[in-house]
Amino acid sequence: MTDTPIRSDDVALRIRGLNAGFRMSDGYLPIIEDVSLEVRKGEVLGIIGESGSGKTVTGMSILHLLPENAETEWKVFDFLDLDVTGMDEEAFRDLRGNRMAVVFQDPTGAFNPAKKVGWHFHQVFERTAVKSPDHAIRAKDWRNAAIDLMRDVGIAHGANVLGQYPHQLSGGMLQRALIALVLAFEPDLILADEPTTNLDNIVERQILDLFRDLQKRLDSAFVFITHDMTIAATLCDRIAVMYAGRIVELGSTKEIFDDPKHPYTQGLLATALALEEKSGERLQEIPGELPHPGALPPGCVFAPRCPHVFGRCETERPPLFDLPGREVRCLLYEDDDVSGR
Amino acid sequence: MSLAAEARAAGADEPLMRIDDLTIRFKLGSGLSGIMSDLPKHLDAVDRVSLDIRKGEVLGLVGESGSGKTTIGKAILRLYDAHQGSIFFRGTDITKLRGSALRALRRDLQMIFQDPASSLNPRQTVRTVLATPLLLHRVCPHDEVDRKVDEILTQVGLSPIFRNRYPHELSGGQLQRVAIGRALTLSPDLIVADEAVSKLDVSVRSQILNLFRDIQEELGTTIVFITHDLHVARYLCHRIGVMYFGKLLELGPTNEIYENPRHPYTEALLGTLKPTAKDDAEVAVAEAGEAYNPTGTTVGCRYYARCPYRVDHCQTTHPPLENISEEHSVACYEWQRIAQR
Repeated sequence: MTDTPIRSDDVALRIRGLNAGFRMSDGYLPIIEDVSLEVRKGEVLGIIGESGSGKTVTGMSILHLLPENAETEWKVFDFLDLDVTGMDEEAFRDLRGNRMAVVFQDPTGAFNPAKKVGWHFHQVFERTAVKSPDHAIRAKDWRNAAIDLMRDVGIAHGANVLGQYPHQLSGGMLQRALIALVLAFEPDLILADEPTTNLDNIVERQILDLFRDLQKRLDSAFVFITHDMTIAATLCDRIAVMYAGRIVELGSTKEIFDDPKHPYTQGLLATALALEEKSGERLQEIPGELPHPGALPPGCVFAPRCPHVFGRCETERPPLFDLPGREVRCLLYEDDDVSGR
Repeated sequence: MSLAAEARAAGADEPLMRIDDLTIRFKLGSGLSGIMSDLPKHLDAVDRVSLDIRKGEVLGLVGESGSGKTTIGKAILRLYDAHQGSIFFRGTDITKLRGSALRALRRDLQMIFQDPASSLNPRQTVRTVLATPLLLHRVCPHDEVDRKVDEILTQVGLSPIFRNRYPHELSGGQLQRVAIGRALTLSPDLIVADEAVSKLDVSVRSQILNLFRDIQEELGTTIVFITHDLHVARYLCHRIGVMYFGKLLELGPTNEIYENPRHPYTEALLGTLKPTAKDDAEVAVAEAGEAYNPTGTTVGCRYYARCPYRVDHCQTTHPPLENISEEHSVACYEWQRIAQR
C-alpha cells in the first residue's frame, strides 16, 4: 500500500481511509474506521459481515446517503476520473443521480407509491436520452424499450406491469422491475444492499442469476453487500470481510474461500460449511457476540472471541497487512507483510 | 444409527400428536371492495393437512413465506381455531378444548418465536419472565423460584447474573436463550420453534442451534421446528415436511428428503441450496412463472405454474399425499418421473 495510488483506468471507485460515525445525544459514536477498497469496472466486490459490522454504513457513506447526524472523512475518494473528496452535496447529488444506482433489500422504497411502474421507466429513459442519439431514439419509444427490458428480467407481461402501481406487484416482481430500471439507467456504479434477503429461496436464486446477467451486460462497478457467504461466493469476484466497523480481510473470492487467513473469516466459513455438509457433528461456534461500537476492546476488535489471541492482541489495533493478493488485519500475519513497512 | 432411527427407537409408535385433515381458514375482503368483488371470501392457509408428530423427534416444517408452516404451528398451540379437522394430543381432540382444560394443555405446549426482542416484555426482568409461568402453574413454591430460575438460566447457557437484567440489556443471542428458557420452565411435551434462529447473526446462530440440539438430546422434548432455511432444517431435524401454499407436499426422514427428493418443489428448493461456482451454467430448477395465487380461483396442483414436470391432469385436482415407502410420502402425480432422474 502506497500513499499515492497508481491510477489505472479501469478502477471506477477507489476509497482510502474512510471513517464514519454518528453524533448521538451522549457524544460521538464511531462506526467504521480505516475502510479502504477499490472496485474496477465490470467487477463485483462483495462486502460481507454480520449486522453491526458496518457494511451498510460503508455503502451509504459511498453514496452520501447517511442521515443528518452522520460524519464521514476520507483520505481518498475517487469515482471514475473525479476526486469526490471535497465535492459539495449538490454536485454529488447530480453525480449520484446520473452515474450511481442503489438496490435495497425492500424494493418498494425505490418506487414512488403514487405513480405507476411505467412512470418510473419514463423518468429513467428521459434522463438517459442525452447520453447518445441511440438513447434519444430509445426515449421516444420508451414503452417498447421498457417491455423489452422487463422481458429480459423475466417479466412476461411487461405491458400490463407498466400500467400497474408498485403495491400491486409481489416482492420478487418488484425487485425484477427495479433491476430492469437499473438496466435502462446504465449506471457506472451499482450498490446492492442485501437485495435478496426478503425473498423466498427460489425467487432469491432467480434474482441472483439476474444480477449476474446485469453485471455482464453493463460492465459497471458493482458493490454487493450481504451477510450470506454462499451468496457472496456465487456472485462476487473479490470479497471484503467486515467485523465491528473494520475490514478484517480482503481478497479474491476463490482465495478467501480456499484459504481464509483472518480467524474471524475462518470461523464464519467453518460455521457456514458445517451447516452445508451435514456431518451430524456439533457446529463449530464463534464464542461470544459482536462488541457494541461504543465499547470496543482496546486492542484488536476480534480479540475477545479469537481462538488464536495472544498478548499484543489485547493492546494493539492491528493495521491491514499486505499479503500477496490479500489484505489481512491480524497480528498473526505481521511477518508476512510485503508492503515494506 | 441414523438420527431418524434413533428417534424411532426413543419414541413409541404412538405419535405424540396427530393432525388429521386440518384446515385453517381466514376470512378475506370484509370491506366494501371484498363485498363488491368476485374473489373468494376466504383463504385456507392450511388446507387439509394430515401429519403425525412423534414423541421425542424434531420435526421440521420447511416452506417459503405463505406456505402455512407458521399457521400449523400456531394451530397446534390453539392460537388459531380449526375450520375443519382435528388435532389429537394424548388421545384428546384439542380443537374442542375450552376453559381449564385448555389452560392445562398450554402448560404442555410451548412456543419460541423468531424475534425474541418482541416476544419478551421490555419492562420485565429476566427473573420475572422465567418466574411467572412457574408461579402461575404452581410448579414450585415461592421460596424455590429463584433456585429454579438459576437452574433454567444455566441450562440455556446464561450466568445467573442475568437474572436481574432487562431485555434491552441483552444481545440477540442472549434474548433468544431467555426465550428458550421460558419455553422450558414448564417442562413441556412439545415446543413449537418458529424461525427461532432466522433473526440471529451467523456466528450466534450456531450457538443457538447447538443449544437446541443439546436440550433436545438431554430432555427428549419433541420439537416442531419451523424454518425456511434448508441448511438449518437438515442440521436439526429427524424428519422434514415440505409445505407450499397450505399443502404438505412431501414428508420423510431428513436424509431421504435431501438425498432422494420426490416432489418437484423439494427438488427445486434443494437446487437453490447447492452453492454454485461463479459463472457455472445454470440448471433450470423452477420456471420463472408466478407463484400460485391463494386467493385466486385456480384448482389443481398448487405448484402447477412453476413445475417443470407438469402434465394436463395436474390442473384438475391437487394430488393427495401418498406413501411411496414406509417412511416417505409425497403429493405429486408425477413423482416416479423424478425418481427416474
